Amino acid sequence: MKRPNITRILFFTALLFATFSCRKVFNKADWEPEAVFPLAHTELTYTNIVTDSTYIHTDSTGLASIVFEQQLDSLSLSVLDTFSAPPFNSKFKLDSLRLEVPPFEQTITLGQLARQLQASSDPIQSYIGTSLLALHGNNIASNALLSLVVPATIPVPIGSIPVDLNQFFKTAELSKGTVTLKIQNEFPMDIDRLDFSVQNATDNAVLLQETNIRIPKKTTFEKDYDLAGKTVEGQLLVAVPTLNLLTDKQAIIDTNQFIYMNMSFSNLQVFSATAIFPDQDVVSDYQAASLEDMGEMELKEAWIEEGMVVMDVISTLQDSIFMSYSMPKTTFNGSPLIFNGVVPPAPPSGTNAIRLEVPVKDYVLNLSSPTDYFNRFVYEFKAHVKYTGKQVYLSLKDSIVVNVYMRSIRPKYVRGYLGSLDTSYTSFIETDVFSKIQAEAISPATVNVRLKVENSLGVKGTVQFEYLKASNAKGQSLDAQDDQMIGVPLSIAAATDHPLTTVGTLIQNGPNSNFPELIGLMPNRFDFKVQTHVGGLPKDSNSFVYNTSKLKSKLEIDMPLHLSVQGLMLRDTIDLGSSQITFENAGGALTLVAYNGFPFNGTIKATFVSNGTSQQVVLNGTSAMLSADVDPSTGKAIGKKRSAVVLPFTQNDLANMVQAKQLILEARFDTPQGQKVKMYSDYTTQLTLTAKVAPKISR
Amino acid sequence: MRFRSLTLLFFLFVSAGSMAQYAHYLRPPSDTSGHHLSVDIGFESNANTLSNEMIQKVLWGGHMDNTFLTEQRDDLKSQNNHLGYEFRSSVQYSWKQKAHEWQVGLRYRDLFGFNYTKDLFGLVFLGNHAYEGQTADLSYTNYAYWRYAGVQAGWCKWLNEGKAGKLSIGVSALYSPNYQQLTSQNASLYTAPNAEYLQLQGDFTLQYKDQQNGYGAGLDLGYSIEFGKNLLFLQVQDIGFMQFSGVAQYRGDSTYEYRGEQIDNISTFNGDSLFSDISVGGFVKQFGIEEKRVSVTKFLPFSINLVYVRKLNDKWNGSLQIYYTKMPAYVPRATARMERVFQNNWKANLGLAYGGFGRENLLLGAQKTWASNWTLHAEGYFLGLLVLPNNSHGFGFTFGVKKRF
Repeated sequence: MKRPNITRILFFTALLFATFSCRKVFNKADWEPEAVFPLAHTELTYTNIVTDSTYIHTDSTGLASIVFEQQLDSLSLSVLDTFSAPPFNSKFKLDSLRLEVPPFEQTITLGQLARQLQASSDPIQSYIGTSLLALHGNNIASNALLSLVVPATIPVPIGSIPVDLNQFFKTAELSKGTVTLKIQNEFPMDIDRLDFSVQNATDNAVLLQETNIRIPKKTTFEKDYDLAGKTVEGQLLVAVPTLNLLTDKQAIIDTNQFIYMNMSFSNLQVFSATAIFPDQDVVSDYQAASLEDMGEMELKEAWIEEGMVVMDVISTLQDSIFMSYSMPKTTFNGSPLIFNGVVPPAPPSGTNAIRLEVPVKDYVLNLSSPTDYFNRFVYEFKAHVKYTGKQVYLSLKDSIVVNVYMRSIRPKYVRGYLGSLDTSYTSFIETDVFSKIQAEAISPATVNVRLKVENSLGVKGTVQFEYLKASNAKGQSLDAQDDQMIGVPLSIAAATDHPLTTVGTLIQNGPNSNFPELIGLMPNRFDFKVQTHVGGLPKDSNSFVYNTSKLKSKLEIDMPLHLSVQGLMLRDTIDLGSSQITFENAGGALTLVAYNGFPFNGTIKATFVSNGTSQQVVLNGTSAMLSADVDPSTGKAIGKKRSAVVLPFTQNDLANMVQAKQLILEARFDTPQGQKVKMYSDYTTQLTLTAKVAPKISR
Repeated sequence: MRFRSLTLLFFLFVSAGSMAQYAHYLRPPSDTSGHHLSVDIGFESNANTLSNEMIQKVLWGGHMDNTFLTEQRDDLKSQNNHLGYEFRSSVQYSWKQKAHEWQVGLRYRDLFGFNYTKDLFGLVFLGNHAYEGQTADLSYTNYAYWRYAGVQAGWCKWLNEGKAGKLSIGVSALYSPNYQQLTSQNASLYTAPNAEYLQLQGDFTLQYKDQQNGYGAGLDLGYSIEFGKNLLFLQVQDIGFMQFSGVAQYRGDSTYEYRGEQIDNISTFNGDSLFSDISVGGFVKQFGIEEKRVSVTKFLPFSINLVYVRKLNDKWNGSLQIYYTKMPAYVPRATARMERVFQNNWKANLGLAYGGFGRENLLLGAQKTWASNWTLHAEGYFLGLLVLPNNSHGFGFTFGVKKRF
């Protein structure tokens, strides 16, 4: 048997196997199924429409409003910037100088008188004297000789009795004063005649004198003598030139019996003296001072923020002067302002001075004393000398010069009639709140303009808009017209006090204003002029102002989103990543399925941009997104309306779309023709973006 | 005339069918030649409802427009539409030693079976745009696709010198570069108007080989016996398995809704995720179905071939064949043939088959043996494809050449 040719067999086998081992496909089958699928879904709320929610407010019903607020310039009163009080400058002489001298007493016994007689050169008087001494306990009648020789009156030679008051004063020029002389006769016989005088020991000036005084036994002679105008020395003499006793022979002689003499000084006031002076006020002054340059202001009270009261004192007194300056109606926690100082003794014929400074922060300055006064405060100044136990020379000619003034006084509160203040300012407000609404036109149904004035001045006033003009970037402008707000003085209530309560006044535009047209311009600027008047007649003495008080004004424009809109544009740019779409395609469409809860119709445009703007595909919706139905009575959207907006694209379009780096979605919204709709915060629109493509599938 | 009638019969009854494993593998015990080399190629595509025109375009190319595809779809049944194809090729060398025969060879198999609904066809070819606002029925959609090849070695023994028949055993070492499978019970896909959302409902499992090839082994068993004028042949092929690692698997048993990417705030949205992942995995993930990577061991799509041949007389032979392969949409295919023996070792056969992926098919075959021990055989069903492609279902052919030496 012929052996098979293995080589041929294997070659043949391999050829057949290679040829037929795989299913052959000569050409690819291709078809283009139309696939539709969702790409993305989202929900639009009103915050997507009005992208900047800074100015969006919603009321309790959910109705949205654009609210724009702008603080206007504040007004404050300048009364607290200046507050000057005139200096208190006064030269005081001493009001009075008082002296105190204790009484002088002297007792002279009968025995002393008898010895005076005994020592007389007259033998009869000497015998009488000796006899009286011997008669102690007996009467004259018991001595026959004495009875014969004794005269009817016995003259007693007393002579002068010294009175030493040097320890109290050396000399005093009295302006006023009284000395009371009291002589008490305890002798057994009457004093038939007494002559005496009191005189300075040095110049023998007689201070007082009496003659022919009769003092019965067991009685007292008392008499006041005026010393006014007399100069009294500390060393005095009581001269008794005559002292006659009326002889009573039956009177029992007691040599211990006496006459008592008392000399008392009272109400001594001096023109000058070198003396030991007791504690006493030498100056006492109570006066009122008025504030300066107050204009028409009539202040009743002021609280001091800062400042000092300064007192300069110059004294000629040769003794320490203890001064007290008080402003009794100026208090801190109820305690009056008092400050004290001591001026050391001035040298003879010289002066001494001190300065005192007292901070008066937080003091309440009562400027109405009595209550019907204003801009006035009272003060009291006293100068006082103290008992030192030393003799000093003081004179009513001495003086104390006091200069009191306020330095850097600044009040933080004043009350009273504050006068009036008129200001006028012109300004403008720039804002993009309305111009940021990217729309061709808006037509609000209503616009509320409010002027909120907060007044922490305790003064009422008025605010008046002279004009308010709106203008936009296109150069259009419109003046506001409102019979309740423009060109009309608007009353502003005053703040109340205790505690301080700022009073707000709200002024709102009237129903006949043209503010909707104003805002319809979509302005970016408001020019205005405001005049302010505070205070004035009738006078109110309870007006007040704190240093923080201001009249603040805030302009508020409230535009409820109840409006018609034309051409409201919403634009969003989405960055796209690379796409894996590489299949061939015959074109297709994007479809935006919307369940629209907004009362807007919308047209959609999608632009795919790559490499800048040189390559772009613009897809326009073939139909519009329909507005939700609107309740004509409330203006509110009812339910949602379904729309499918188709954005077709070609095969070439898709090729560029997949290369795009950005997708710009633009939607134009318009409210239904002739209708103003309300924008509520609960409006939503559900959007689903779907794609329809017909890829070419090859197998 | 009779020939024209037969031709007409071809027009009427041609449909897609499975490849018949006729007795070309059979080497009766009476065959005493020492070596055989045979090359066989076979292909068939069949469908019970899909026309040959469609199948032809899918397999061999061509543009299918929507009008054509819509017509094709409308001719389908709501459910239980079958479609499949099989391509086989092999080279086998056998030699006989006394009562044994040895075989070695190379083989290749590519087969696809698909049980589908009309709506699934519509989704695949027309797209879901045609189903906007409707629910596409995807119930009981099953398909499997195999492609594998390998080397085979076998041994045959004539029992009792052939009196008790011939037993053959073969083993194959296999590798598979591709495998896919989809099974589903109740499934549907709803496309909302304007594709607002897609809703996938039901239970399904999709697996496909993604990364590594599969490796496996198969066992072939065969038995044939001649008794009198009768020949019985039974063969079971590809009893075995294939192991795959890293198979992508998607499994679902619920309702999945896809509405596109949710954008919380369009003002801050970054569109990187749009148009980004349009792969199957990317698409499935949009429904919230997660991909898993699994290792699977799959049974090979074994086949069973049972043939009975009766020699009626010197000129005529009759046969019955039952063939089945384990594939979705494949039902056992029965074929009856009548073979006419002509002079000069020509044979011609006419057959009628039913089942497989399709329905009835008319088979026409021929065989010629030369004195040089070459044998050429061919059989096929394709006239419908050529003459009335839009009204015929299925076509196939087998071709083989054998050399004895």
